[in-house]
Amino acid sequence: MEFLVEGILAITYKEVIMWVIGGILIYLAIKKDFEPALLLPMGFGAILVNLPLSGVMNQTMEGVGEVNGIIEWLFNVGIEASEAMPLILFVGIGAMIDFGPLLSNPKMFLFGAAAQFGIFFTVILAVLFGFGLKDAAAIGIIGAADGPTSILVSQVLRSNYIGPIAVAAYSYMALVPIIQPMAIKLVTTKKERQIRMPYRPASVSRRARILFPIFVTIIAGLVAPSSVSLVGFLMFGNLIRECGRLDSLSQTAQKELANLVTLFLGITIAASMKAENFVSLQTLLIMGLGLLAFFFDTVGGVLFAKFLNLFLRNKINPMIGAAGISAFPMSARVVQKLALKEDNQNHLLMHAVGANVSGQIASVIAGGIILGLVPGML
Amino acid sequence: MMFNALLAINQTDLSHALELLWKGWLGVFVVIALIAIMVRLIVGSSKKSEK
Repeated sequence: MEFLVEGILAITYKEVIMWVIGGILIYLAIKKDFEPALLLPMGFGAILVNLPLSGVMNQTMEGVGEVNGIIEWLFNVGIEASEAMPLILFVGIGAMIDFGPLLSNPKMFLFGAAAQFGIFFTVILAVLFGFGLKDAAAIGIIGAADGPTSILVSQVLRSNYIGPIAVAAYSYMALVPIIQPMAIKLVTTKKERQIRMPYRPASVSRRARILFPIFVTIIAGLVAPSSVSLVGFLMFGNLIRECGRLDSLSQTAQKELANLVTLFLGITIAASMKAENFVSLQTLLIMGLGLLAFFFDTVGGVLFAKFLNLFLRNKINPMIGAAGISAFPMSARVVQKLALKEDNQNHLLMHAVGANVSGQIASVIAGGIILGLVPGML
Repeated sequence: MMFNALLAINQTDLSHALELLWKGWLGVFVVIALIAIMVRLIVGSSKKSEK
């Protein structure tokens, strides 16, 4: 009857810790509504993969040999082989994005670029804390504030920390309403936060909306070839949306496809949350560095706006810079809320949405640039 | 632990990380600026053809 207690006797304390962590992720997803679409599957998956001798991971069975586990198979096929899951999810995300506010106000593009500062600064911090360059780059990409980009970059770089990176990326996206106001208030004055910006958008034709994803892919692909998969799939989804001929495909991409892939991605990522890899001081460090990445993204965007104001007659509200991170639409809403708090007539939402949407492109480009530069440095 | 971590800094990795900061961040700006210019041209030419 020993086989009945085999599993119980094989429990390690690290696995118990992972059950607790899984439980915390599930709690955050359900009770606090923190990115439930990802945190709940990740939390449950963390429990599944950390049950001793779990059948969801590959096991060697006596008399039978190697037996494949479903989560490990999903990870090998859907993430390790070609990063298919995050890329397919990007098609759905691209189909959801309306680039109109950005196309009608193109100067907001710059804030998307500025707010990627935290990624690169965090790479330096991670190296200072003893991580090797490829792991530091994978940790820095948490600052992209974009789950699929974080997963893809850390996987391509063969980082040892995909699990904590994915947990950090999704958890901190949900904490944007807490992280960003702190960072913004640290580097701005009340007077700066009260700057008003009139909104006078240019009209955007359907032709412009169709040409945009095509040209973005070509430009990004020529300058940063490693970004083609990321940018290309995002823009493919957007082209399906904007072409006006594929409404059913667009709806499918936005809803069924995005939901299906999200469902599988969350539980599949759990394969990288095995206790022996996850329960370590490095995980805690990564969570801390991920927080700093978001913080410095915000600071970078805001300081860039303040720098531009040195040369502009019509000042920009520097909080717009903070909206340049990829956490859409939370970041735009945070900036709008802060602006109204300082001056209840100051509506910055459409400017902030433009910057926020730019951040979605810029974060993906940043990921591609890291993939282009880092392998050559290893 | 932090002191030990600081001692473990790989100087080559640090110089690469600094290089990544200016090249990577500048690279993002370059791509974004090219895209912004392209958008201006497309939106501008679309307005002209509508007139």
